[in-house]
Amino acid sequence: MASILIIEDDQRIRERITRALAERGHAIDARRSGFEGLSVALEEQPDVVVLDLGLPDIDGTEVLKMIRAVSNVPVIVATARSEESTIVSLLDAGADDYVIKPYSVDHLEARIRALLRRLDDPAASAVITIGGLVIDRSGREASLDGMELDLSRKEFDLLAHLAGRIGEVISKRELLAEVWREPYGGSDSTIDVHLSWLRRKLGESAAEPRYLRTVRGVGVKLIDPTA
Amino acid sequence: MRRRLALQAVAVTSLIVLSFVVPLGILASRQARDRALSVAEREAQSIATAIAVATSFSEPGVTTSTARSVFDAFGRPDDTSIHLADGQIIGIGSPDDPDVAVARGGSAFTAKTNDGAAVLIPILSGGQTAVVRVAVSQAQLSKGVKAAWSVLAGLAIALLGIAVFAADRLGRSVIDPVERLRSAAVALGTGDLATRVEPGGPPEIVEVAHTFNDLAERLGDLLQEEREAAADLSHGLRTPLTALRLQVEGMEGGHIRDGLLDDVSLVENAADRVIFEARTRGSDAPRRTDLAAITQARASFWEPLASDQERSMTTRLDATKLWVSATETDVTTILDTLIENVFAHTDPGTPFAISVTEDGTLTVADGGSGFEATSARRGRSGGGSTGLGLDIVGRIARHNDAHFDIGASSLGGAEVSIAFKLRP
Repeated sequence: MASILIIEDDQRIRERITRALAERGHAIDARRSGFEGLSVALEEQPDVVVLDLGLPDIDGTEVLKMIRAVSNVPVIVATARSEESTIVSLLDAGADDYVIKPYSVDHLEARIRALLRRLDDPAASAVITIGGLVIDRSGREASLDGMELDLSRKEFDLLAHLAGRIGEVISKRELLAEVWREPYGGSDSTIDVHLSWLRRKLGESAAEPRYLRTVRGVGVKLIDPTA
Repeated sequence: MRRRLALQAVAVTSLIVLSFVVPLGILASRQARDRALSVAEREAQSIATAIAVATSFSEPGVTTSTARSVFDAFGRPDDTSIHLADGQIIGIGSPDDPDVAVARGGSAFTAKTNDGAAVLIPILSGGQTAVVRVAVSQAQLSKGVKAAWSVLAGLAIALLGIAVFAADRLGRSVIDPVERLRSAAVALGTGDLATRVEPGGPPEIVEVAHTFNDLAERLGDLLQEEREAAADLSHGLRTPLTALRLQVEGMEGGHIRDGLLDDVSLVENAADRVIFEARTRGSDAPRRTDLAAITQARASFWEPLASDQERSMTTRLDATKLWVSATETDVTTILDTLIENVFAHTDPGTPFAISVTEDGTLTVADGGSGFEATSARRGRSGGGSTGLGLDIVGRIARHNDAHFDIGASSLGGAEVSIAFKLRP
């Protein structure tokens, strides 16, 4: 269970998230304005803050900067703007993660869980070693058998996500939601082509897989071929 | 236009030059003639005077010896002759010269001859009349005229050249700003909203250039406002959609809930498409793209997946560089959508080919089951596709004034062609 502060001006969203997350055992405090939410965030020190950007009294980005100026409380920003420049500026402003509207309760809760998991065990999540494959999440670097891999941003995100759950089959839908942040859109081909690039850079192929295994009709998983 | 201005300058200068050069030439001819005749008159007069003086000290009448002495002293053997009263001629002359006969009547005059002219002066002495005749040849009459005409012609040509050069310089000062304005207008017309023109030339052109820049600035502002409106639209649509999705998720499970969630997803996809198209329309990126380079890059991007799926993928580029009228984003979106469609709607192992021809046509063909010609219309596609991808491709193609066509490929499946306009 986590204590979660929701700062959201839309009454229907606020009520629905409050109810759904409360039903799942979380302690929810929901506020409709930026200054109200800021006050609670500083006084109550919740486990995580879900911050909407379109607030009636002050821009959500300003609230984020104010929180970050005096507190390390984790903040997930809920934004309707999916442009990369917007996302980058939010992360630079101190956001720990983000969800793009429209999102589901499941999606939001998954991101809250992942964020809290990372914060609870930062050492475990920083560097992951799978056989000859080493993934440094904080440094955004990966190497195979001591050779540094030249990965694109999405390829690294994809590898890091799969590495976070070694041996577990992850559906393409989840990858679209978690890596591409497109929970209801996107194309399987987009994932497929990035997986193909990843395979190539890992020195394997679909016909002769090592680390990356596709489970037809289910998803994909990362395994330790040396185990 | 510069050529017309130069021709005008030539015409005007020619009139001016002719109005001065022709009278000057005629004047030069007359001066040469007068000068030659004047020399001949002086010579004839000198001989006549000398004979008159010589005879005043001797017996009346001009004697042969006196005439011979004076002729030897003053005359020129080729031109001068002295016709004595008895018909004897000192020098070269014709005894039947009618002009001499007239001069014997006591008149001094200049006569025209077949070879030019002749100055005739009578000498009265002792009741007899001798005549001094000095001939002036045509060459002497026109001596220096050719040189004068040559100088005048050279001067005229030089003036014409200077006039053409000056007209060209002046024309360029007007035409160059107009040409810059024209180029900028063409660039703006093809979607390059960042284009501006440097004001220059006559005040009227400078004013037009400023107005053009203001217009381009205003267009950019309007599109910026449209983009911002699109961004606001995204927020405006996605927030209530979030509320709607959360509300539906909160319903009791069952067919109605699942159906509503599917419908919400469709609305979300439609909203994404509207936002995407609004942003695409509002883009102020330069509408000039190397189709060959982007095709090569996107083909390389998709190649590993084709390899993994054991598909034969061929890329044929008829040119190493091919500039077409479209934004880089639009060409990339078209290529990715078409290639993605091949992967999504054909089985692994199905071959496909990408080609770019020199006339700016991009073609993606596959060996799948093909589709009907109505696929470009949303929701009317065969093969299980929504047709949305082709719909977007068609819209982007139209937005870039490109021709969009679908049909059957030589590989046995579908073929999509986009004929872009070339923009070298």
